[in-house]
Amino acid sequence: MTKYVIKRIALMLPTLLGISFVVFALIRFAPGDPISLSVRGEGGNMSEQGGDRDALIKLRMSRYGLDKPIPVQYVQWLARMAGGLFRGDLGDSITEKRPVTEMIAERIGITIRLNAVSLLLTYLLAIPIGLVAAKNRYADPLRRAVFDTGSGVAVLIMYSIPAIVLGLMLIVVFSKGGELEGYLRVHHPDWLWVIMPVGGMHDDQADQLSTWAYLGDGVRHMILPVITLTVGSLAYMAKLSRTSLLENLRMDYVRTARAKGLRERTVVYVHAVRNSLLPMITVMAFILPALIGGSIIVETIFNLNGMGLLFYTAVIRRDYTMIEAISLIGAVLTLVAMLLADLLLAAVDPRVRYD
Amino acid sequence: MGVAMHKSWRASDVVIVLLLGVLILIGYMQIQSSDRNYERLEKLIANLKAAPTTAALPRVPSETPGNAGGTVQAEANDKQGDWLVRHFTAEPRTLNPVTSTDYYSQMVHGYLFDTLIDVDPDTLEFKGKLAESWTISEDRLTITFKLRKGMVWSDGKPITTDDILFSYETIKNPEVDATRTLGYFKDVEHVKALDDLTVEFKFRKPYFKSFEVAGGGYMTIIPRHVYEFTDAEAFNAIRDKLVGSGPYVFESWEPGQQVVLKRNPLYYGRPYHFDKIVFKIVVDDTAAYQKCKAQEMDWMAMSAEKYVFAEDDKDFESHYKRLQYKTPYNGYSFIGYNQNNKLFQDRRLRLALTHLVPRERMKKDILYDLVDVVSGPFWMGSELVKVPIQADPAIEPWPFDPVKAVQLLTEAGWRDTDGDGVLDKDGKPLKFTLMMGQGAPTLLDIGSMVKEEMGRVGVKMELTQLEWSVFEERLNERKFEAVMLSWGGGSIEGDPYQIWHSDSIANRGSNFISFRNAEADRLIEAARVEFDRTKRNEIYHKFHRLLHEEQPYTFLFGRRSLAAVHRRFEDVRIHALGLDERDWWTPQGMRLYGQ
Repeated sequence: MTKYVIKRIALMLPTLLGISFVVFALIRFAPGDPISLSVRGEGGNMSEQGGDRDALIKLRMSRYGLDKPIPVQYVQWLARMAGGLFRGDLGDSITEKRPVTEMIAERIGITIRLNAVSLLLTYLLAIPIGLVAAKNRYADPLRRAVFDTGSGVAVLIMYSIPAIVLGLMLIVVFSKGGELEGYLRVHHPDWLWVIMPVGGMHDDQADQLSTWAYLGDGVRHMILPVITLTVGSLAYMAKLSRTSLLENLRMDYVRTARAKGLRERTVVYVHAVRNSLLPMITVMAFILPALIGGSIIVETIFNLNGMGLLFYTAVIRRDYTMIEAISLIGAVLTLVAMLLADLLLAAVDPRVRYD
Repeated sequence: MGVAMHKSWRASDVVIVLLLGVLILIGYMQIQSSDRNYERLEKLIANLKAAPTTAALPRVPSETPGNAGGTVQAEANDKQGDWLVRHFTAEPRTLNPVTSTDYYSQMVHGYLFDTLIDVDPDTLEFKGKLAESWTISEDRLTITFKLRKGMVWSDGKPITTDDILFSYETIKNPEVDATRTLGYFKDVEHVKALDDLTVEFKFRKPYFKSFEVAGGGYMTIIPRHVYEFTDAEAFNAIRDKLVGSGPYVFESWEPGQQVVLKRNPLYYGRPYHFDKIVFKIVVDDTAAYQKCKAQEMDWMAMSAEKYVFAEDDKDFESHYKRLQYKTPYNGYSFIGYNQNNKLFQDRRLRLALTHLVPRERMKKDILYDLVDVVSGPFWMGSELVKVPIQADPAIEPWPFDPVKAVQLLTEAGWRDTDGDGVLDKDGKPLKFTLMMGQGAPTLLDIGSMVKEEMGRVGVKMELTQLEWSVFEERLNERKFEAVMLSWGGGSIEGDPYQIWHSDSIANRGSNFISFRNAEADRLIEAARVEFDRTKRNEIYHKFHRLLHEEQPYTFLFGRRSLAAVHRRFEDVRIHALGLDERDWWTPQGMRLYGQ
């Protein structure tokens, strides 16, 4: 086992090197570079400017070493990373001229908070939904139609709604200043609490609230984005949990348990459900990297300052250091999470052995 | 019993433990965020002590207006208060006063750093700001500004000509990333401080825009004692250290959320009425609109689509005034024809293509009737503009006229000899590709309409839409046939040199269609050294006429500014230069933001 872990960790290094080189080369082969984009302006409009911009661009390119051949730049970058990694230094952003770690630190909090809540909700809701659906798969036609087919259709609908549509719909319906608020104000004033803030992390004058009210304000701002984030993954996980349970219910050990005369409850909840959770552990390998991976759509429509927008703007502005740093962090987390999931699986499932 | 029972760890246990872990993580994050609350709590307690109210939002007027009588002074104080919340559609990269390049930072700097001279929003004449007076030498090469006495930076230190010298040295420093500014100053020979309040700009060549270059907003004037540096990289890395001379001072920048400015109590000039100016960063158009409906934003530039949509939105209309106006800064869109391509070297063909673009129909059907069809590169002015303008108002845009287009094409030798529906000449079909960048969805609609109309008379046009960086690269390498694009951010009096002079073709200059016309060059050069505005405009009228006849571009539309402004403000007027928030104020009782 120890040998296996060491082997896996040793394999990580070349994998990381490969990933970093591919990202490095890809982004540099893409047209445009951070310097000319910042000098000439971006996004649909050109403006009149005086002077020989090209000479100025060349000067700045050479200052950041961006005029050298790509392999040379890569080796230099590697050397810098090797030195900086342990000091937590991943270089300075080319467009903003400050440490990328600082910029990531500014953004990662909100992203982790949103994703953590969303993941928690996903698991807490998906497992029971899958359970109810699977349990009623072979029940009488009415129960089957309501619980299995019904939940299946609902889950399919949830899976099919694009986040941008759902998010905007939620904003238009539930936010301050919308139609619903006007209606509630007149007819059901005691229901006004369902009206949510439009976006951002806090109200403008939230800093004048008491600590608890301030926390409450933060939570209220998270509700709509969390729903938007959760709906898609919830649908996916519910499907997964249903399939997995169904598969286990057909297994021999379940038949054995039933034949032994165990109660159906014990058969399902003690035996089948536990084993059906195994694939959930494999899926957890994606949780760690997903925690820091923001969503551009959710962040844009709810005006949150998270990792998704950071990465997106970095790509649009061709901010090489930032793109490389985020990709590197993502790659490390993915590799670590995959290893962890494999080890957990071995711990839980006696059929899995690494020797 | 079950398979998993042999192990002490079970799948369900692992799932539960991990879920618990996530819960703990969330709890930790919440506590972390509440750390910031101690500060808030302290502030709250302080507020409560100051005002014996139990309200959660203590409203303590900081300046109670005196009841002494209706003097002008008292009235001015009475108008002071409330905030102005504006809209940013993206986050500025940096707020560095010298190296920043984006529109957002320029908007912020407009409140923080005053310029030597300013333009009157109604008469469009220059007037003093930091400068009290100025003289221009007979040969037009030397411009001397005299500063007002007693002005101070927002930290209390006096503003002197040495600071202007420092600002100039800073942009001239090759290590400083002042790429945006530097080009304008290439003909400046020197800047000299004659004494503490007198500064001289010496130019190498006479140029009608020299005065504007020296005194206008091209160079941000910054204090030496704050920004002086030895390491230019450290200066380039400054993001939010902002000490200026303007009516507001920098308060905070919360990334992704907002930039906040507060009143500068030491300001020398006429102050604004608002206590704070807030820029809210809201990227999504619909989210911004919704924020308006929640009355969380006071002034927002609107897309044409939202502008029209809001017309039927009673909630919106009850809180916001929608305004449309024209300013010289709106720019225009066009289709440009690459003159390096043999096809487009024939004037008759270019003219024919223009006659195939149904601009009036596009304006109504696609652009909500909120643009103006233009005939040239100059600002067409508006009812509010009283000074003579560069554009010749007598020039009418070419009409949509397929019959005339066919005549012109036949004249130029284009016929459909092989009967395939596409015109040809010397065995070559008349086809080309129109390149455009990614942007407004209307872009593609316009392109499609042009394609359809051209197709009808046998001109085969393809459309290609490219990501902005790729688009730019093609433009700079001149690797395109026709291009649809906009020029933005003009000025009251533009200089066509940058876009139309043959000198601007080389070195990836802005004359990317490689327009080369000796007469045009002559007119542009003559206008640059003509200091009489009326005579200069006569030259520009000729130039406008020349472009109209040559049609190197099919000029499309001049944009209008569309805005929503909260109804609680008084004195919201449209000037020749657009809106001026210096006028605005909120009556007591209507104010949304507290003291």
